[in-house]
Amino acid sequence: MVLSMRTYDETYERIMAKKAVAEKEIKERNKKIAASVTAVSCLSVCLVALFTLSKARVNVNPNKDNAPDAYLSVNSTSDRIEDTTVSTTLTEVPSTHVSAQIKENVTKPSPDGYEPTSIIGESSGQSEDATSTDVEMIVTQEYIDSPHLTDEERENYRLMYVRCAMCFIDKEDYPKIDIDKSYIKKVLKDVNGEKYLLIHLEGDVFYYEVVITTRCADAYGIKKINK
Amino acid sequence: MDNGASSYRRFLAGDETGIVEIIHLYRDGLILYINSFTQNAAEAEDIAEDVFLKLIMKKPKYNGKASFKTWLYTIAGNLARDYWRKNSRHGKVPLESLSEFSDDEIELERMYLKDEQKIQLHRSIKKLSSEYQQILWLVYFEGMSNKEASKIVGKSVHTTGNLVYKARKALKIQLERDGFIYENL
Repeated sequence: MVLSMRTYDETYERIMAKKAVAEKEIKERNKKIAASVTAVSCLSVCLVALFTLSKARVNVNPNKDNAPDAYLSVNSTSDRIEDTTVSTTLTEVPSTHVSAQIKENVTKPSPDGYEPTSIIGESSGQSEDATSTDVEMIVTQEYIDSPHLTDEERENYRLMYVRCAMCFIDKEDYPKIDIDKSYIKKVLKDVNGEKYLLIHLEGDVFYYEVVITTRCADAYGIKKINK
Repeated sequence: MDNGASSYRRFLAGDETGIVEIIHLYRDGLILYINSFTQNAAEAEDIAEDVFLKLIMKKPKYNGKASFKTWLYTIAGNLARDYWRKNSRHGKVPLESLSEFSDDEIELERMYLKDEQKIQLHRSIKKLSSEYQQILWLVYFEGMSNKEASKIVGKSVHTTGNLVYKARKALKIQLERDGFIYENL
């Protein structure tokens, strides 16, 4: 069918079909995200539990009252996980009651200053959090703030900025740009000690507004300051 | 005439007919505009549908700072540029404009432009570079000012003015080659 012969209703139906597909994809993605979050939560719980075991001495007394199902003895000989020795003995006994005694406070920092909560911090990827914070500092471009971008798209642009668009262009992710026509629009804040510049670039076909490092600007001879 | 702004507001308020009206108003023009990026009418139609899909899915706010038409064409321009970036790397987008017209394009320009003189003008414009095609479409066929066009192409008004000047100059030469007199158009 010649596309221009499509009626507007047919176009509307095609758009609604695309919408249904997009919504299905979003649902599936959300499911995957939920599964990942659950997995990370379980991992965190396991890490905390492991840490707790390493820091605590649990004694189960088999002779108390109606005698327990099992005899469990955990002895930690060191404050650090890697030095921990765990010995477990299971003995069949007839009763149902277990009494446990935790001899050490698990949330108390160990003598070498190692905080239990830092395990969770390390596993949640602090480096990514730091990147996001840096990116917030340099978001000034009108395009990024324009309403038609989704949050995901906006975030991609921000990440691109942190990577330095000039290096990005060099990797041929973007078409080659005639940088002689470029000029610096604005000097942005330092990010991790590297100064970033917002510049306009006019390519053979399109016009770009990108952020590059001063190092790249020097390398490419971009000196013309507009503002 | 609000160029579809009230239809869009009604759509945001829950009236589905609002988006249908916008599709009626803008579908053909958007396809022809996006075609100046893609040089492929079927791809252009696909992207034009994505523009409407974006309105339906994301329901972005229209703040009324620019005309609704300018705002919608800005979204279309950004989607088309994204398409160009993704596909030019793989050689899917021709760098030079194509002089041959597909049946789709011929039919579409007849429906949208109607006037034979405008169609001839469009044919000549299609022989220019993609960048000139884009700006001339906005200025000649959509009747936008340099200021409005500058928002869509993402350039300053001054740069856009220069671009329009250079594009007109190139068009004049092309029209003469095609046997037309620029001043008469």
